[in-house]
Amino acid sequence: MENTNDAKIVEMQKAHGPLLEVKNLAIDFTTDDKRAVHAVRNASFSVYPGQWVAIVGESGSGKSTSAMAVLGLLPGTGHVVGGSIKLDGQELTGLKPKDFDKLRGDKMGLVPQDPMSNLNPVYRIGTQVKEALTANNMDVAHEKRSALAKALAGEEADVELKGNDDETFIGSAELPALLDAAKAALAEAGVGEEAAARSMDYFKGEWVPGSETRWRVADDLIKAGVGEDKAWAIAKAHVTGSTMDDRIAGLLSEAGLPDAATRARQYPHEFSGGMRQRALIAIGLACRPDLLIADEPTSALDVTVQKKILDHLHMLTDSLGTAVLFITHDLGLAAERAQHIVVMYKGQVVESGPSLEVLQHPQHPYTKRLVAAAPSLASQRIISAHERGEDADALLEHHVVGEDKLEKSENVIVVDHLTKEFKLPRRKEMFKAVDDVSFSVKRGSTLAIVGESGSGKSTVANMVLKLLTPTKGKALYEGKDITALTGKELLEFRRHVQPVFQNPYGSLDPMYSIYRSIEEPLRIHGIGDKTSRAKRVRELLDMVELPESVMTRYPNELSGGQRQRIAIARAMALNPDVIVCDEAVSALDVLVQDQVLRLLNDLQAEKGLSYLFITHDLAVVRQIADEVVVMQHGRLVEHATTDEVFDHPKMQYTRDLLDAIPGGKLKLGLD
Amino acid sequence: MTDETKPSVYETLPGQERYVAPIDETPLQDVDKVDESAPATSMWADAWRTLRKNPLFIISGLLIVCIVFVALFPGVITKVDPNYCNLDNSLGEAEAGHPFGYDFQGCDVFARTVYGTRTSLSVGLLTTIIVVAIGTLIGAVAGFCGGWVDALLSRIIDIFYSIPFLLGAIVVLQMFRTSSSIWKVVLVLALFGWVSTARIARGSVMEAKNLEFNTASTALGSTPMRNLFRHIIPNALAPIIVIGTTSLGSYIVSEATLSFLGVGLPTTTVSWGGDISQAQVNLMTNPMVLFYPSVALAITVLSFIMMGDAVKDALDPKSRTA
Repeated sequence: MENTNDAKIVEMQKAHGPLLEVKNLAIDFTTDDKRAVHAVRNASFSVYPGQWVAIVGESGSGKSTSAMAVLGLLPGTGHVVGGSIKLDGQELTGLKPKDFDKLRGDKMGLVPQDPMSNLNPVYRIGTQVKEALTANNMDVAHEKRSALAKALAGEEADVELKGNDDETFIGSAELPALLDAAKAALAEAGVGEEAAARSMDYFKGEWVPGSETRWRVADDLIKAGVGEDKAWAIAKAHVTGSTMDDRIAGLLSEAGLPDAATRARQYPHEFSGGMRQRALIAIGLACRPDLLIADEPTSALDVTVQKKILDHLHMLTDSLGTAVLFITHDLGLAAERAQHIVVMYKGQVVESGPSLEVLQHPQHPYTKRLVAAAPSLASQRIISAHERGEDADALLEHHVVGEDKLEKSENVIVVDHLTKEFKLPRRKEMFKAVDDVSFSVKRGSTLAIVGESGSGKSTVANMVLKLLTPTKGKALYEGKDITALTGKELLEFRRHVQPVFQNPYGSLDPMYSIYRSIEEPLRIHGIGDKTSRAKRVRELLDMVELPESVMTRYPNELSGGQRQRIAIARAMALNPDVIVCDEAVSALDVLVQDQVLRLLNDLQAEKGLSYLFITHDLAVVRQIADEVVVMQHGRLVEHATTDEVFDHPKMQYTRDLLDAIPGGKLKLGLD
Repeated sequence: MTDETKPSVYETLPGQERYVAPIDETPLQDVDKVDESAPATSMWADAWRTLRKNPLFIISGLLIVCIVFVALFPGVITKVDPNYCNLDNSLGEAEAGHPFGYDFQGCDVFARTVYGTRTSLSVGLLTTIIVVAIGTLIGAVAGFCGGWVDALLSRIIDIFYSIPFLLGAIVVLQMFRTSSSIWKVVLVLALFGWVSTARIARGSVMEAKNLEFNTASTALGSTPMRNLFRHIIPNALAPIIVIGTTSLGSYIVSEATLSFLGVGLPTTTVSWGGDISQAQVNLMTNPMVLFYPSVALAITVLSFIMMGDAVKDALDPKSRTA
């Protein structure tokens, strides 16, 4: 059935022709000094009704710009300078803003990137959904379905939809009466008590006011054993249309928000990131557009939340027959979700085609590079620990020369029953951010702490760095309690344990030149004189593969990846033993991320460094870590070697995390 | 492509065939290559580049250079002694060597206007320096320490805010009637002026304090005090400089106001405010005597306010109106 349905859809798509057809699109931005910057050149792609098409590319590749041009939402200085954008045969380039207003919402919807800033904090969620409905004069009592969706529904339910009436929504006022009637009808039809109770539970769950329609009610009743005529009679009598509030709640509940009617009365700050994104999906789909543009809709969310939301969006758009233009930087995610992939690089489409084919047989060198670097697709550590082993030992010995020759234990960092409690504002009880966590980092190896936001992983890192004091338990460096360190000993500790932070835009002082930034630790620790320090800075820049010319530059002139390499150079300045990387590559594009990870690996091999690597991304873990600690709600859930965790995860939570890696299960045809 | 590609469930639709761009059209670049062609810019260098192109800055800059020159070397502009007054010349017309004529006392208006520049400028500059120094220090301490220190200092700032400036200045200056030094005016202006700078400094220090590079520095081994002076204050300086430049003009105006009211500088000191005050008696008959010092005052104040605006645009591009 699946295949015949698919074949039918393809037939319909062929007959309809492309919903969105972009040809040779060119977009320019005008800079302050009136120069034109070519943001997009010669981009062509098409989207068919009901299809998911992904545009993949790094930041600055023009993927979002192209999508915004389709919506007519290019920022101030950007404008389309060539090519055509056709939506359902209608040319969109050169349309006036007013005409775009008519198309947006109704024909095209948007799910924006950042759920934190795209909801108005002073309005209730429901009001913001309502705004989308009223702005487009939507009929809130009836479902609006595309031809494709009708065909899909017909296929599924074997009913012929007769006009608008069958698409009437359930109203919350009539729901109790409807349920009573259903109960009576079930009894009348002679359905067994148990089966009837099961059916009633099902109805209560499924019949969401403002979301389910008359024919579905009839269909459900028929399936539960009620006679056809009776079922339709009940549906006609009790399903007579929903109010605005019902519809808002219905939309939110479709987007996967539980208890939607209550949620609709809440404000954005009462929502988590995932819930806000669901609200934005509800708004984007409120007017049943033919095309939904999802601009990195889940990039700001945890992987497990991302999976849930995208699964839900997929189900929703499939049943509505909505085509989705999905913008992402993650090739694995794109391949997993979309049927067709468009790869953009430097404002041009470099490759496009069926997603699996592009992924398995990338032909353009850029796509090849992307496939090779994508962490979600990588299957092993960048350099195997074994291969590296001997080298590291030799260097390690060399490194130790001149320091005290005391026998050192195998573990460089030991975390022993560490607990951290925070006081929450306006709450009496303490919040346990980290709850009794113990592990140790072996010399010369990498231990990764994985967890979602709020799992306490960064708090652990901050305690190991002595930026926070633990409530209970202790962290040891070379057998010494870190929390007890003061004065000279503390300075000595700082010299050996260095951090690299998440945000490469925030961790470098914008007022300091790169030279001063890298020199700072040397200055603080009073190492060398001016000339020797300058020499050391040059060495360090060379180590992170940046040209000497960046010394005179300032952080704002460098890219995120370059800044992160500067931060690594700064951390390396004092020849530390341990580097604590707190989400050090999370903000970077895949290729840059891959580059930084390789650099970290090479440095480890060369200097025998130990890493404590904090990340939310299990895919990255496989590339860099020897051991993994999985954290959830402040507790240590699982601790094992990387291979063990990936091949035989013991806990359900770890399995969930692994499942959520986008494209994790895709087979690659790489040699 | 040795193995047969598994046929996908979805048939390829027209317009969605496999496409690979010619490689020479989009040559690959090194990953994350440093653009070495662009000139190096710090925040200050960047601001300077923006400033250089701003006509507001050029005009006000030129004016300020002229004003400073006049203030430093009044003798070059006029050889006439501003304090030499001959009642014979009272309200005399302009004549050769005395382009602005004479005032009621018979003093040369041009000379007095020229020599008045120094007074106004010194008051403005000295007040600004003191205000910025004290305001930044107190504001930074309040913002950096937080807790009770912040609460205490903030209340002190509030108390100073609640005193009407003119009233307070008159009361304080009454106590030093006899002194003829410009310092009494400078100190009074500073006494009531530091609070606004302190408030701004406190706010921007609090903002800079939470930036991640401070944590990074601490982890490198830096002490809180070192962080404050090396990282936080330099990063919080921009708004302080902006308010300093803009308020310089207003201090000059305040000095003129106080002198006009007779509580500022004594009549023996040549100042625009004093001269305006003297000239008002003859406003109906000889408006030009009032005109010259007023215009000089207006031009000077305007220059500094324009400069402040330009600096603000350069240091905080977000505040610019498109």
